[in-house]
Amino acid sequence: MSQVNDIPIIEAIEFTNFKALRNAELPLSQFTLIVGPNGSGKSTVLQGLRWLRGVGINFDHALTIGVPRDDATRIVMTIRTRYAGKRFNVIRRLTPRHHNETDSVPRIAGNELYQHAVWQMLQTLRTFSLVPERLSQPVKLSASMNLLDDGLNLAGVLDRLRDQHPERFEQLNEELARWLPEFDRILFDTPMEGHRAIQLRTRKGQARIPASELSTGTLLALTILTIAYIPDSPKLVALEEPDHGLHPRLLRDVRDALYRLAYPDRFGESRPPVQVIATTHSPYFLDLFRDHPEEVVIAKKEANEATFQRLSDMPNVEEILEDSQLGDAWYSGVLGGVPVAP
Amino acid sequence: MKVAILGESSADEAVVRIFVDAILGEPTDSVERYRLRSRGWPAVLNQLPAVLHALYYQSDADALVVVVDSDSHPHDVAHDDPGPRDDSCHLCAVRSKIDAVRARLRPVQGRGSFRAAAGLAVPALEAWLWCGQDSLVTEQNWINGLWAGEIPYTKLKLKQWVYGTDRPDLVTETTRATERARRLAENLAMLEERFPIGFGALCREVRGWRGDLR
Ligand SMILES: [Zn+2]
Repeated sequence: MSQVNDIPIIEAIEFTNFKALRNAELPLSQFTLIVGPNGSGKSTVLQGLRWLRGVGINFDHALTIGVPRDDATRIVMTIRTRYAGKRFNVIRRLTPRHHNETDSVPRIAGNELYQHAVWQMLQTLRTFSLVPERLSQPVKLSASMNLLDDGLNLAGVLDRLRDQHPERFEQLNEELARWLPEFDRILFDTPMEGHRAIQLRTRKGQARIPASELSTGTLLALTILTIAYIPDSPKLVALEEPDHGLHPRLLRDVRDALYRLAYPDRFGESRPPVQVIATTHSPYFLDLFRDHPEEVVIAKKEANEATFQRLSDMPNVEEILEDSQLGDAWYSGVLGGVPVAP
Repeated sequence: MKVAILGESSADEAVVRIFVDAILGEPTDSVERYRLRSRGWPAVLNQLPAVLHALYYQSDADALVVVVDSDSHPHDVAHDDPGPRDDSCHLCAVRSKIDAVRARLRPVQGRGSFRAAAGLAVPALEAWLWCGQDSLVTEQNWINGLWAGEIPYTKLKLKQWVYGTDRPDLVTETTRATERARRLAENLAMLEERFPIGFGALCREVRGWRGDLR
């Protein structure tokens, strides 16, 4: 059995009464890019994944607008997983009575033998909504190499990577220098005892530029690379707009970095693959997935209700795209997933 | 000779440079001023007027070479007959656009002649790169398959053959592609024989420049 099949994978997530996702099924692949207008449920998917990991949600805030609230009303998320050739559903429910539920263990239907692997995958999943201002913050050193959802501890994670996995840290430096040729190395500063801050060294003149002086795009590029080079990667990573703030010419590198996570064997890496979910608003980023329509999901919103469709499941999609860029076709509206007129 | 190259990706452009140098029999210089980059069909066609104008008016480039993938629109020699071109064909579309822009260029004092050539990889540049590895990979085989409704290999298949994966990162793609191109550059006759329409057209146009090389 191939390595990919030995790792649990989420095949789809069904949402019921969860914000704009009143009744929606999100199909997922080893790599999935979700495109769609604002409010089409892309962020709700990430919120759902956090809920799965144990972050509480408020029933009244999360209930789809217009759905009557009574004792029988449920917000439900069903995660359809496949592992070792078998399928398991993980169900998360929220009732009006437990409207601040945080601690109930998701129910996993299926053979107990496999539950552990699936449960472990769901526990280690990571959802990143990177906040540029936080990436540049000096942080207190800790033993953890887990990057926080907003990227706040980036400096600490890089410091650990340098100490514990120097060869990967070197690879990361090389890759960074290729992405952003004006810099040649990640350096560290100790603004106070037990704290670390990042600096980048300029190729010309070897000047140390503190993180607080770096552009948003540079910090985001560094963070995406860091996610791709952390050795003990989670089994599932979801990233909100990894293209945000980046020069369009860097987007191919971003795609490559995410593919490196999702398909490590094709990049000569022996570590287990990571299931990757990313969202975007960028037609340029979308262009890069023309060869793999099965990896693209269009989020559509009509009358405050969002649904998902895999691009490869769309009728006549090959004919529609024949002589167009994927991003242009999406922007034009013919694929759906664009804002509706007010 | 200073030659600008426009292709569907930076890896494609590196490959085309190697072939153009081999056809000319001497290394060309790139136009440093513009770090041209396209992002696939039809963006390359849409960018072409701006690129051509800028090269002509603002650079000392001698020539522009454009190479695109045919996808499912290969060129047919019948398109070369006098009369309107078939612009669904990617090669004809590129040539039409080049002609239209050149017709509007005004003379500029001190500007030498400006040449342009176009090539078409059927169905994709990786087919050129796989030339000689598999005798089935020829322009005619693919076109015959297309008309018969059963293409012998897809673009993705070609990528898997050339790069070992259909999702190569840019470094791998560029490295492998230029390695193959350098080897093939030593046997242009084979490429020209197996890709007479799209590669042959490029060869004939570029060879025509040899006479007026400085
Ligand atoms: Zn033609």
